[in-house]
Amino acid sequence: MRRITEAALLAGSAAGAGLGAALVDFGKSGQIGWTPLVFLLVYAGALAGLLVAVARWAPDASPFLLPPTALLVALGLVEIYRIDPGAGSLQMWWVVAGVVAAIGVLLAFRWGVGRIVSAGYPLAIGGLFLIVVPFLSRLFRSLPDDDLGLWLSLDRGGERFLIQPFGLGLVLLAVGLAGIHSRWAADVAATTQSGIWLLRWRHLLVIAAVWLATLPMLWATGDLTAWITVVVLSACVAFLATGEYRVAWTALVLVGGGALLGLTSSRVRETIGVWLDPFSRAEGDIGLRESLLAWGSGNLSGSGLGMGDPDLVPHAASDWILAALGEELGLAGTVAVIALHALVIAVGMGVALGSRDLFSKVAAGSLTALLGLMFLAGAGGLERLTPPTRMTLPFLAHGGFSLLAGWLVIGLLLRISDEERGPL
Amino acid sequence: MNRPIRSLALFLLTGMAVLVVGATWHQGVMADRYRGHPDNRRIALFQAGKERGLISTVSGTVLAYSAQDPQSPRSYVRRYPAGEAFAAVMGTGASTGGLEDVYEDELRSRRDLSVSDLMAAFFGEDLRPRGLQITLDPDLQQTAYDILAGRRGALAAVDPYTGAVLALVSSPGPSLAERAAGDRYPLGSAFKIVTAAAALDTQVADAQSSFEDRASWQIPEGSFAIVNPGNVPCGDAPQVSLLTSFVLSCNVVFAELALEMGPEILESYATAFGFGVEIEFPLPAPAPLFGGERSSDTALLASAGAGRLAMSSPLHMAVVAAAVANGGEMIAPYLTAAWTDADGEVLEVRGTVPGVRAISEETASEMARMMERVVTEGTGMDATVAGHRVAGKTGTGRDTQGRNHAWFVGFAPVEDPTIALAVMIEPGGEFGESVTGGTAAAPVASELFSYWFQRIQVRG
Repeated sequence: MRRITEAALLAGSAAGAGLGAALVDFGKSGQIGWTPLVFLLVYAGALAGLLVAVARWAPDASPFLLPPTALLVALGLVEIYRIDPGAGSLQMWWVVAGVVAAIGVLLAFRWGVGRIVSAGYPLAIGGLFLIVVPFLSRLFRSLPDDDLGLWLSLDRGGERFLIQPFGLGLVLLAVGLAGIHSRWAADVAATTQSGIWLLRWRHLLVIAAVWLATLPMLWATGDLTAWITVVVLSACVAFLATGEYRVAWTALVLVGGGALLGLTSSRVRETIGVWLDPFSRAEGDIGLRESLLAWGSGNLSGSGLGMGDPDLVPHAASDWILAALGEELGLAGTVAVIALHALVIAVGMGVALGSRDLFSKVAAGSLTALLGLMFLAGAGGLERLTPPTRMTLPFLAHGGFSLLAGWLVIGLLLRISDEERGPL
Repeated sequence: MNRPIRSLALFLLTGMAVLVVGATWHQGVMADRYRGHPDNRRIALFQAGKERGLISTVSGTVLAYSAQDPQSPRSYVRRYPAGEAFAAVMGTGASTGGLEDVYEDELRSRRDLSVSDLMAAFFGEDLRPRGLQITLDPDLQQTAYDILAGRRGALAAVDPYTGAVLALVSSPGPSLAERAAGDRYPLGSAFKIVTAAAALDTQVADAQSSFEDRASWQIPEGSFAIVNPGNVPCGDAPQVSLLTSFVLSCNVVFAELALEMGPEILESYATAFGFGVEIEFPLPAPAPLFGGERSSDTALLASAGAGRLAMSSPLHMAVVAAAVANGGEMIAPYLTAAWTDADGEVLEVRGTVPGVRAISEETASEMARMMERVVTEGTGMDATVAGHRVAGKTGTGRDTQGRNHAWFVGFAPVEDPTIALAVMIEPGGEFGESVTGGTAAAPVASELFSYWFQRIQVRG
């Protein structure tokens, strides 16, 4: 019965994608093309496939996880289509890829997530590699317009593709660290010797290692907020595994120290300059200024889909998707987006609370924290609570890999949720 | 092991709550600040492509309308189908001083898709742009524009009884601003209408009063002499009548009249005819200048009486001619006839505004007779239209650089006036630098009158 309600809500999201795209068409040109129908059918088909996979391989998974996620993805898809129809169609296929990835997770771990534990180190190192690869690539090849930040530029046959592997790297890092920390925590619990303090310090050393590995990335990209997200996320994993507050203090010291070190980078100083005073800059990064003007112009009810001017914001579909959404859907739309994220976080944390083994708890909690931290960082950057970031939001933005990352997290949470609620 | 999960969940959800507060701050509290920020191009983009109201003549000729932009169907482009004869009056952009500029607010669509707009629409308010109907006679305007083509000048024509502006032409167009109402030019002898009317109305003189006929006159206690055109006497006899002086535009007699009446009387009549008085008009219209205010200086007063100091616009002088034509009342010229809703239903009409008496009816009819004589046998003979009775007064005003401005101020038909006009021609073009009212402005008036008489006959 609950699955039927869930299916109805997902059908609503697919219909929302179609209807939203139709509104965009109508708002922009007064005519409705075929794209809305394609969105509706493709998205409905993908979600139906996911539902079948859930029913088959994770029948006891929480039915509250997919509906808010699907609605957020539909919102992002519509707004990207509104900003750039070509990017919107591309995003449609990324959505399909993400849903297929989630189905793949359900299939691959249908006997349980336990075996990830032993792959902790390779996963974490792989994740770190994806996070720093844009910076590494620039060590060997200097680009003329090096304002890419977290973006990796790939040249394929003269055409330039921009991808942001950051989100995917975060997922791998979170899962890998969850494996490492939960195994160590189990060790500590089983140890009665006097050397226990050393075993506990290992957790802090891992955070420091992540800190050290990503510090060059901070220096090179200047994206303070994204860097803080990585360090705080790795601290969150350790905190979930150990429950010790000194993890939080360690993270605080590391973030503060790293930020001070980062001030030696002109890019970090530039980012902070934009953050403190986004308006008096004729040159330089106008992304935050234009985003704030767009977002604020949305006022309470927004301009209506397709009727604002989010095109004035550079990289509106990827870096500043929330500003574009806020301009056209207003404060009402912004609050809805925040509420949907809060719902996903609440459900994800509920999964973590109910899980039976330590790794599942830590993994579910970490992955949920990842979604929450990325959204806090992205939206906080727009609200000037944190320095502006070019990190893409997992469900909303036109970022390819970050969408994929979001769906991977949802797949894993569904998997863990199934184990939590299923028979012993 | 659930305590850290609860703590982390609390942290993240608190963060979400903070985001809601931040969003409310930026999108609610600060929204107006962002929207009106000088770097925010949204309002400008929005207004540029917005639908604006229809501007048409009362007779139904469309002068300006908004059409959907084929490139971007959500926005509109402004079209002016009536052509460049109307360009100066319409003003085809912001701060050009034309109707589009002056009625920017009134012609604007109020569909901003804001919450208050939606509320207003909900309560049945029509947010579509309002339409404007103006008094211009489209054919007369076009004809006048064609007649003035190749010359530098301006003209205005009004209905002598209602004040409805029938034509308001600036030439060459459409690159220059509107000048038929918007600029002042030296009047010269055209001002003698005021001096003569004052003398007749106060019975200081009548048309047959005779004066010593002199080529020039050294003003008593004045520093210079008033000289007739060509420095010759008006007639052959030693005495000359006021009528003849008016018809042949002799300066000496009007200088004497001004001194005889004194500064108060001349100035009070100048004021009654609108000199020094702000004109209420939608387009920019500077107040006409009399130039001889409170002048105890006899030379200045004498000059003012002969029209050497006054400056005015064709629009105002057309109204002066109308006052003579309609029996002595100064009427307010108006261009804005009515406002309509988007369906063309009339919302408000300009009510009739009674004229203000400047001279008695007897004075007005005597002035009309004298002005008709100017055309039949005087300086304005080039304004003649065969088979019709035309009245007028020429003028050649000299500006501070010594450049002549040619005037013809008149009305027709004399027995039942239907049009009052003023034509002003600047130096240059086919007339060279030495334009005079009789040679440059009167022929233009003649052409326009004959067109007008054809129109009346076709209608009648």
